[in-house]
Amino acid sequence: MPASATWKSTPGPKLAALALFSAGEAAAHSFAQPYQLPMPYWMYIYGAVAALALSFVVVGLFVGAGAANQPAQSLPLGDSRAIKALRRLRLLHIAKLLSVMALLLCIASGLLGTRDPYRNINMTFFWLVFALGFSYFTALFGNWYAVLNPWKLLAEGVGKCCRNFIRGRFRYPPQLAYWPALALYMAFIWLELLGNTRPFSLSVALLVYSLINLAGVYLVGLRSWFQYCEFFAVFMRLLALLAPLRYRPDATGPQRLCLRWPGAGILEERAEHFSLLLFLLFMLSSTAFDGLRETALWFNLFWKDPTGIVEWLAGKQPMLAYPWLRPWYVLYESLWIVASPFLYLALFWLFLGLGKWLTRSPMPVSQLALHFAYSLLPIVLVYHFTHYYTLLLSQGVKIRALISDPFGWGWDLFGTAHTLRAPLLPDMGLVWNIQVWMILLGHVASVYLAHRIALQLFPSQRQATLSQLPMLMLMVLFTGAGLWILAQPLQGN
Amino acid sequence: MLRHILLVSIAALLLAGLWLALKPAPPSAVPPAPAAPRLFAFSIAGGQASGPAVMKVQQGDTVRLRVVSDSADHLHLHGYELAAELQPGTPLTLKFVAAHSGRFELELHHSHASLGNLEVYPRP
Repeated sequence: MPASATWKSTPGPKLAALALFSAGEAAAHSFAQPYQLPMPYWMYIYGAVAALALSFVVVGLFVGAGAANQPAQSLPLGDSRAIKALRRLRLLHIAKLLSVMALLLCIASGLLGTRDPYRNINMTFFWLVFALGFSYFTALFGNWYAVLNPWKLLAEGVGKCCRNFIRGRFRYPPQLAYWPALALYMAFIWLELLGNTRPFSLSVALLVYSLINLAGVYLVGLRSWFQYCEFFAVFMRLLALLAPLRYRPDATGPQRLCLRWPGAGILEERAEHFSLLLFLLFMLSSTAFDGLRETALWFNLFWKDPTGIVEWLAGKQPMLAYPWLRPWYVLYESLWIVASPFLYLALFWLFLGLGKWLTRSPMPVSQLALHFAYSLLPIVLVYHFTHYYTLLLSQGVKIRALISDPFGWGWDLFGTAHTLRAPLLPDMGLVWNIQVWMILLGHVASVYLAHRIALQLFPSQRQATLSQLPMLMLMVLFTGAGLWILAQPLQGN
Repeated sequence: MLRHILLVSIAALLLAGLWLALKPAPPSAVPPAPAAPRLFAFSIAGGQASGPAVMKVQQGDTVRLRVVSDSADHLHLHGYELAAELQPGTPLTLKFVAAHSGRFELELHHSHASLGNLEVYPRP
C-alpha cells in the first residue's frame, strides 16, 4: 500500500473517546508526538559513568593550573563591514514585521482555519518553530527575541498612538521580581503537557496572552513588563547566555554584536533574584517531568497503584474508576508541575550547603545559589534539546508546506503546499547517539563553568575545587536522571 | 598546553574504553527478517477497543495490521503516514515493511483514540 501523505480529518463526536480507555491520554499526544524509542540501557549506563569520569577530568584541568580566573574574551563585530552592509538591508525591520504578522496569522488561522492540528499552521508554528526552533536559534545566535518579541512590538505600536501607554501607571514592585514570569511559564507548560490544545484553543490562549501582555504593559510599563513578566523574554534571555554571539540591542557601536566563547555569558552575569533561579530550575524540571510522564513507570505508579494509596482514596481500583478519576489525575499531574522546580531547588540547596560546609565559606547558601544558578544552563539546554529535537524533524519541517496553506483551505500560495508532507525519521541509533553525546557535552560545560565561577568566588584554588565536589555530584545526578528518563520504557496506552 | 593535550587524551581514552566495555557484543549471526508478516489484530465494538497496546517488531519486518470496527472511522499510523477509511463491519488490513525504526502511534482520527503503538527496533 502506498504511503498516503494526506488525509482528511473532521472533528468527530468525542463520545467514543470517553469509552476507549486511555483516549484522553491519546488525545493529549495526538499532535506531534516524538517518534522516539527508549535509549538502550547500556547507553544510559555509559552516559552516566562517562559523565562522572569526565567531571573528574574537568577538575583535573583546574588543579594547579594557576589563574584561570581571566575575564571572558570577546570580539566586537557590530562595526564590521559585513554587519554594516546587512544593516543597510534593513533585515531587522523586515524580521520585526514578520514576527508580528506570524503572531496575528497564528491567532487568525486557529479561529478561522481548519480544526485539524496538522493542517492548521498555528500548532506547528507556535509549538515547534517558535517554542522549540527559536529557542535553539537563541542559544546559538543570541537574544534577537529582545527586538523581535511580537508582544513587545504590539505594545510599542500601541505606545506610538497613545504615549502614556508604555510608561505604566505603577512602579514595578521589586518584591514581585520574576514571579509573574514563573507563573506564566508554569501556565504555558501546563497548556503544553495537559492542555490538549487544538488550533482554536491555541488561538484563544494566544489572544489571552496578548491581552495579558498589553494589560501588564499598561500597568507597570514596557520596560519592567518585558524584563520581569513576559516569560518568553526571560526564557530566551537565559538561553542567550549560552550563545557564542552576544546581541545587545541597547548597546551602540561595535559592542552591539560580539563573538565570544559559547557559555561565556554565564561568567559575566549572575541570577539576580531567587525567583529567577526557580525559573531556571523549572526549565530543567518541566522537561524532566514531560519525559517522566511518558514512561510506563509514571503511568503505572498511579493507575496500577502498587502502593494501594489511590485505591484507598478512590474506594476502588483506579483502572475501574478511570472516567471518574481522570480529572483528579490531571490535578495530580498539575501539582507535580508546580512542585517540580522546588524539588530541584531542594537538591541544589542541599549540595550547595555541602560545598559551603566543606569550604567553611562565610557566604550564605542563598548567595551561593544565585552565583551558581547559571552554571546549570548547559544542562538545561541539552535536556531540552535531546527531549524535543526529533519533533523539529518529524513535524517542524512541515512548516514549508503549511506556509502555502496556513488555514488548511487547500491553498498553494508559494507552490510548496505538497512538499515535505511525510516526516523525516532519523535512525534510532543516530537519535540515541546524539542524545548521549549532547547530554555529555552539556554536562562537561556545566561542570567547567561552575568551576570557573568557583574560582571567581572563593579566595583560594583549593577552596574552589573543594566547593565543586558536591556541585559535580549534583550535576552527575541531574545528567544521570536525564539519561535515565530517556532510557525508560514508555507507556503503552 | 601539554597538560591540556594530556587531559583530552585521558578523556578520549576513558570514553572509548567505557564504550568498548559496556557495549553488548552483537549477535554472531544477524537473524534474518522472518518470512511471514507480523500480524496484529484490533477490534473496536461499542466504543471499546481490543488489541495489543504495544506492537514490537524489528526493522525490516513485514507488518500486517488488521482492524475491524463497528463504526466508520479514519485509521492513521503516524510516522509511516499510512491512512485508510474504516467501514463498519468491514475488516481493513494495512500491510507494509517496517523500514523506519522508532515509535509510531496507531490512531483513530474521528474518535481521537489511540489503538496502540508500533515500536520498530533497529537490528543489532
